Amino acid sequence: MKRTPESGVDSDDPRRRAATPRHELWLYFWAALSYIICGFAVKQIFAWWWFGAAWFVLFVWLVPAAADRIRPHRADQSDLTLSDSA
Amino acid sequence: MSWAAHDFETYVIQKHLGTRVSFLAVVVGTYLPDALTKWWVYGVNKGPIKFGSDNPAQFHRGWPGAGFTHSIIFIVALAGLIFQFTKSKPWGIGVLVGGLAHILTDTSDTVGTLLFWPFYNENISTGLWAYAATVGRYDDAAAYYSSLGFVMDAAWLVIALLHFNVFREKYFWDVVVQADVRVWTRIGNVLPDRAVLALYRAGMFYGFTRLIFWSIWTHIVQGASIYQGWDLSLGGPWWVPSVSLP
Repeated sequence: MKRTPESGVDSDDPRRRAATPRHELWLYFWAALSYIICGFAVKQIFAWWWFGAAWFVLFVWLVPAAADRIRPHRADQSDLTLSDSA
Repeated sequence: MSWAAHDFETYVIQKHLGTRVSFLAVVVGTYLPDALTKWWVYGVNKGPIKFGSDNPAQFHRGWPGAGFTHSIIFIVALAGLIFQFTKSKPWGIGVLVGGLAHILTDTSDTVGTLLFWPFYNENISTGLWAYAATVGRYDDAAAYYSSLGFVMDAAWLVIALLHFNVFREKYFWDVVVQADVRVWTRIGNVLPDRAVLALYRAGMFYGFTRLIFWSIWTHIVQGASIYQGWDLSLGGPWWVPSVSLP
């Protein structure tokens, strides 16, 4: 998290002005669906709000990170292609 | 008692009070009335022995009992203590409003809450749906999501979605974080931005999945042995013992 000395938080960071990307909305969808499916195996998880919060945060945070490690970044690939053709 | 409604209320409160209130404090406030008592209400089985209350309604909402946790004076005292401890007005107001939202929502079941304890020791209740903690956690869920409790949760979900702006990334950084820079900065020192934002949205996620899961489990899977169908009449469903306190 970037910070300025005055406010403590850099609210002018342009990334924060942008809307949540569509692929990230899918992440939220999959997080909810997987939680509901797991609930049928262990109903108790719907009594633990902290577990639900942890599931959601870890899913939205770690799944894209894992995907980036497995697969080369698309943006890098497209840059290479453009340079090559030029 | 209410289920997912408590998770949705926090966002609506945040939207209406803006930077005057800390979102995290509202969440703490909505959980505090039940924080120390809920596990004893449902009980815990350890082998053949059950640890829990013999009279869950009296213990949870009554006096004598822990019903004072659902009183205005308790919430005000708690908010005052938290304000003294944190020296933060948004935290004091947040716990106050979150706690009041919880105890007011809980007046909707047949047991109600001791709103005016210790000055008036009778429970205030509108009796919209049956208080069913006496039949255990899962049967309680089935009863709640077969009654007007389901309507309450669904209504709060719709109200929260009508305030959709509150879930936007820009709103989070510009309003929610600015209202409580100190705590969010500490969280941001541990988690990346994406995870911090997800943490803020987690209450909506948890409430939404609860509403969907228990509704499917109750009405489609029919997982509760006592389930006898929908009953949207006052004080329903008819198939759980109706509990009330004087």
